[in-house]
Amino acid sequence: MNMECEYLVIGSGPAGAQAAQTLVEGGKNVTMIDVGFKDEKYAALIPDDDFENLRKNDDSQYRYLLGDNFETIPLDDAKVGAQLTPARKHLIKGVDQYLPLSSKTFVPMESLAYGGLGAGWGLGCYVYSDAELQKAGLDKDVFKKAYEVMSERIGVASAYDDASPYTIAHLKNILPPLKMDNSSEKLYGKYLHKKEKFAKENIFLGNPAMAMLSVDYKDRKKTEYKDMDFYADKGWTAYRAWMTIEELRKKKNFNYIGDTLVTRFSEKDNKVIVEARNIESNEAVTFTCKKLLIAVGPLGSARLVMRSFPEQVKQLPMLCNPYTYMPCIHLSRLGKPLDRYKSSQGQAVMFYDIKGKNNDVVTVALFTYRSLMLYRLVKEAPIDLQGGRTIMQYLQSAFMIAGIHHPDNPTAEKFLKLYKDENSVTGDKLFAYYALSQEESNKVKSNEKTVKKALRQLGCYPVMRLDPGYGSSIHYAGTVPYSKNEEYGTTAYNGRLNKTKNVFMADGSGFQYLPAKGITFTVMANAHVVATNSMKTDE
Amino acid sequence: MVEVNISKEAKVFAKYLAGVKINEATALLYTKAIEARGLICEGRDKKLETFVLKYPFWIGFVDAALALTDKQSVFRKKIFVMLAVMEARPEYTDFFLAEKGSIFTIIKICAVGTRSVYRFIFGYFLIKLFSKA
Repeated sequence: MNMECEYLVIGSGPAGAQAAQTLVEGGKNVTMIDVGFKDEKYAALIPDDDFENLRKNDDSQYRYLLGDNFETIPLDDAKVGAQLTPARKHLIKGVDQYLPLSSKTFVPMESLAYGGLGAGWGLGCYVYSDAELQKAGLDKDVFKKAYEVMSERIGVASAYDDASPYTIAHLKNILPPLKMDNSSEKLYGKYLHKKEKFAKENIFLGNPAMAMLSVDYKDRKKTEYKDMDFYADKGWTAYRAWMTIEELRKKKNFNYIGDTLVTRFSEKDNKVIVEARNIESNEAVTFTCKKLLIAVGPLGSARLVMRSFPEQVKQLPMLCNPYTYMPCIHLSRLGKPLDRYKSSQGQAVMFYDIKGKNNDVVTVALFTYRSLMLYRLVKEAPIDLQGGRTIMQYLQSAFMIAGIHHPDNPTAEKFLKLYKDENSVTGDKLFAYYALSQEESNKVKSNEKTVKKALRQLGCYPVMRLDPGYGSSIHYAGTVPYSKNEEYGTTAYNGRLNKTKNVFMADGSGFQYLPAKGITFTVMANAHVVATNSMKTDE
Repeated sequence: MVEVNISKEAKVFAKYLAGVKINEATALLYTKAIEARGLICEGRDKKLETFVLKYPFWIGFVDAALALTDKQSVFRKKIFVMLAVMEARPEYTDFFLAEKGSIFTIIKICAVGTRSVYRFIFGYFLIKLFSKA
């Protein structure tokens, strides 16, 4: 089957959705192709009630808490995807089959879901500083405007406080902050009391910037703090990329084609030819387009580039934030239950600005724990399950989970290759290798030491350090890095894939540096910039 | 017959985990979960399972020892599944949602921790015994 189209966007995640919106608003005819797995069952089962009420009253809660086949009870040591609830489990559906990857050092999470990984995004929005943008290879003036466009499109709730320079920075279009729960409010109060002391150590704490609505916005509803954010997207309160696509599907110049896995692309006579297959019928499909925008995520983009230029591109670099998390006991909260009405997402965010220059900043997202259920906590305790249940029941309201992200730079020890594999649906398998140098490891350890000290000063005592392994941050970039030279396997600064005329990298594949601040907001801003640039190059 | 055994297992595990006698609906859910996740004890785990179903007093000892020596034990996974199933039943919510605490809470936590240590010591030898048998 052959299809002709004007602009073709591959992928429905945050980058694909935003690129498509920019193109559609620019009057272009846009086709989006995507595998697009959806949750067809669980979200619809969830009553519109708060977590505590559901737990006390709903007989059928096991269906959306554990899954009809009890598939979300984590029985092995897998860390990536272990926290996914039944309504989010489709995020990793088909990944082993269609995106095979082999690695002993790197365990990433990829997605073929409708809305991509963004369907389970933690919603944290971070504006990169000028220095970070420059290091990543992004234009600061262009991005200042692009961030505003994104903020207007998705709705970002935050406050102007000590964390603002690292979260919303210069953004003007901001919604009121989300309510912190009682545990985080207490922590924040302690921080405010000692903020001068923390400032001397370059530690800053405040409200996170979240793509979750604190007030009604466009057709979406404000959060009701029902603590069900890991299970449902009621009222479209939390921004998900598929919401943009649902809106675009109402437009005449947008066409969404699901069940389609792209395998490679080539250029001929100023046209881009994209080879794909329908995963239901296994039928080969060819798309011929004027412009191609690739937004399948940096690892997926690497696959496509290596497959499309097998002779010229044998290996590509990659970036991924090293990530660890520390369950902490917030002592003053022992035996004091959390607010019944709260958001499940990050409650506060801490930054360790090592050099005081808003560059190479360590980001610490702080979460309280409840709606992911007690049994997951009990599993981590090195004691009998009976004792674990008793202890964790008392401790859970005092738990503060600190998720620590570190910045990442490219090195020769972080790379991807594509090997032939006859057993794979695509005939190949991605190989990933990721290791930190001794210097990088030392920096991570030293930074974590400072973060632990700061947490202790806030009365929040880390009880253990959990290292889920490289890849678990789910922040990937830099696989087809920017280069001013017209070389294979690199991206021009306007987003065009070097050695092509009409292929654009709309995800974070080009970034030359990965700040520890969550990447999604910048990826969306970048997709908008690249889509705009792709229209500029029209004949 | 198999279902009867699993149902008995469910009751023993629930009694151990929260000190309660569970209803049939919960036992049935546990049976479904074990079947769906394909958890079948073999070898040492089968012997341990048979032993603790006959002598439930020892279950905490075996569990504590497996927690430190073999977290991937199928037998322990079955108890863990029971824990998850109970948490997802409204009848037992109070055993899982956070409670208000007091100074006695700290004492209770310390006591439970200490109990876990001595359970581990005895349980460790028990597991060694069943591994050899």
